[in-house]
Amino acid sequence: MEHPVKIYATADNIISSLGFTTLENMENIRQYHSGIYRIDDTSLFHEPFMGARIDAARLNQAAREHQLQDYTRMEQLFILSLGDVIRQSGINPAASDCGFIFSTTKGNIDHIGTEAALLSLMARRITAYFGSSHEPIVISNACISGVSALVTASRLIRQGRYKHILVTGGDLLTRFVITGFQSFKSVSPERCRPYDSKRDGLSLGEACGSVLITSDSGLVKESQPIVIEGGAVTNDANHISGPSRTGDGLYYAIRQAMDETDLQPEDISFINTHGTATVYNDEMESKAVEWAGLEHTPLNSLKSYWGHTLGASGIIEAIACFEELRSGEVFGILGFEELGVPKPVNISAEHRHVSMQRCVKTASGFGGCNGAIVFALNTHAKPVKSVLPVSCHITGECSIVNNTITVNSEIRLQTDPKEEFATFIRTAYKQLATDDRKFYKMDDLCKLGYITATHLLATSERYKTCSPLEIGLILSNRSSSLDTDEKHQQIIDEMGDKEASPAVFVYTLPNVVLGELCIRYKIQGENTFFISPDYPADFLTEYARDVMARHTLQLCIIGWCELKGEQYKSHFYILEKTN
Amino acid sequence: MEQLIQELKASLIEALNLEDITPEEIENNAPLFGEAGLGLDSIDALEIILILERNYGIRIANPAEGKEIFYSVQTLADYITANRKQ
Repeated sequence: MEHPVKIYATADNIISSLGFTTLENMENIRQYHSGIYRIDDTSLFHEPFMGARIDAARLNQAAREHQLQDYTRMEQLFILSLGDVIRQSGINPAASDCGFIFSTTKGNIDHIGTEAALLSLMARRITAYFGSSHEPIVISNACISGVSALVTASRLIRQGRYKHILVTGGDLLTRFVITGFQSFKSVSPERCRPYDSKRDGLSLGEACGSVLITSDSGLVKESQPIVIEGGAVTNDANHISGPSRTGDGLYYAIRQAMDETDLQPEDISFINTHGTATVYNDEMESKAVEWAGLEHTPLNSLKSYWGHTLGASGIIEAIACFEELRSGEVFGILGFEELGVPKPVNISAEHRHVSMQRCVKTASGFGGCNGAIVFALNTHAKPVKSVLPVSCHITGECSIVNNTITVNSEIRLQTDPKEEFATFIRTAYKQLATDDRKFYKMDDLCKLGYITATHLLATSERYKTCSPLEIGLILSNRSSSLDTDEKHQQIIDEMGDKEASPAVFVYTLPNVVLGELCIRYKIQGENTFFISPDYPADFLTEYARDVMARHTLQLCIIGWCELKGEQYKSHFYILEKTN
Repeated sequence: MEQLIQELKASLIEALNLEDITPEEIENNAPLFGEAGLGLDSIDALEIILILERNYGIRIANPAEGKEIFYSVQTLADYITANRKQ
């Protein structure tokens, strides 16, 4: 059911290398201060590197004041950041109409090997602190997690599932993450320089950011309220770690987000991109921005202030967008000197005054995912196009459990349940009689998803007639990518930082399963990975139905793809829009 | 040289998870990357950089430098012979 409501973003907090409140962070950016410095700490990396860290002494003090000593560092950050938003807004976080969405790639990864590393368990500890009895929603969509979480929050409120959602995103600067990005040779030896001709990689950072998304204008205290107009998530279907060479996936995300309120390029006052400062990311973004007709629109990236803060980046950069919209300034790209991307996008090193209506915030990440969201000043906000409820039906399902593959109640393969997963999945692959040289490169979670999806899609006639943007993929699991996370951690613990394997690290994100499937089956529509203690099938179906009503989606693969050691289970089904 | 080539093929098969491919099936002069060859990609290139550093003490900082060196098993072996430190 569609609720024609305005979705406000109000009350926010940023804890980062640049301070513990939004105001403090913004003051630092206004003065061109960066939180990125040379870090010489062998507990993080065997040699000095450039990164952005949260002030440890200040965090310890804040944690003591709030009696948070029993919580991990990541949990302390989430609690402090959410606490600030709750105080500012006066929202009751325990109310039945208030939900929580967490955006994180690695959560408590510094506690790997313990239960704390399970993302949904971490989220529950935090919501329990605030007295909420709802199951928190956790999104782990690589570097677009933050934008994804904001898009999901606005959709769930429009659906009427919640009135308010506290959205929070966080990730830590850890040895796990640093060694991984170093193995990808994507860390710059200097402070990162987005869009510059001399850029040579990203800088990593840590942060936590929170904001209240609500349909209740009574909770909005700002004199210039911010409204979420539209948002979309897509996939490049090109490569699991390399950005698209054409920018098509990001362009589609921007276009779909703008289409929700029929926006034209001239309606956009500025665009805040991901802008990681790797050669290929910024190049790809410039192509997508030009394709969207936004090459003359002021553009910025905030990565040279905060570094790349992973699951926090989409949230804290969105909060900066709100501040920029209100103050009428587009922050300059610190360190930018000369344009170094193939398309002539509109960039400045200095802060610029711009007449404001609305902005587009984008992100792109591993697994080929892209996200875009539109924020407008309330005085300029356009009504979201009303959507009619759509009817959908399930047309097929496939499950793999106990070494048995079942497609629409028919057993396709059954081997001894005591056989190891590696042997079973190899037999399952051989049975398909296809030649996919990359199958053996995948981690076990991706292999499981691949075999399940291959059997399922073979049954679908509709799939053959759908274009890539008409097909979506929404998956969930309990253990995220912990199976491979433990392998990466073991390599760096036993062999050293320099031995980190890029072929292992790339699979330390659950949504890479989505990426692998999108590449093989040319899927470019909605792409989201939820982490949940149990299979939330009804929630996922409702979510897909809403995306079908809002965007071009005709068919969606939905499911559960869980694997940790020898324990595994998958169940995928196809939801089709009824014509 | 022949011994180095055999050694390289074995390390590539292991490090790049080229299951189902035997050393004999990798031709010395055939391209490793792209659809015409073994279908290796940018992640494999990073793994080859690790092999060179770990096994032969050769450091390649920028993956772009590796394009010609990584063309085939033969070009890799030639480069290692000229530059090896261990």
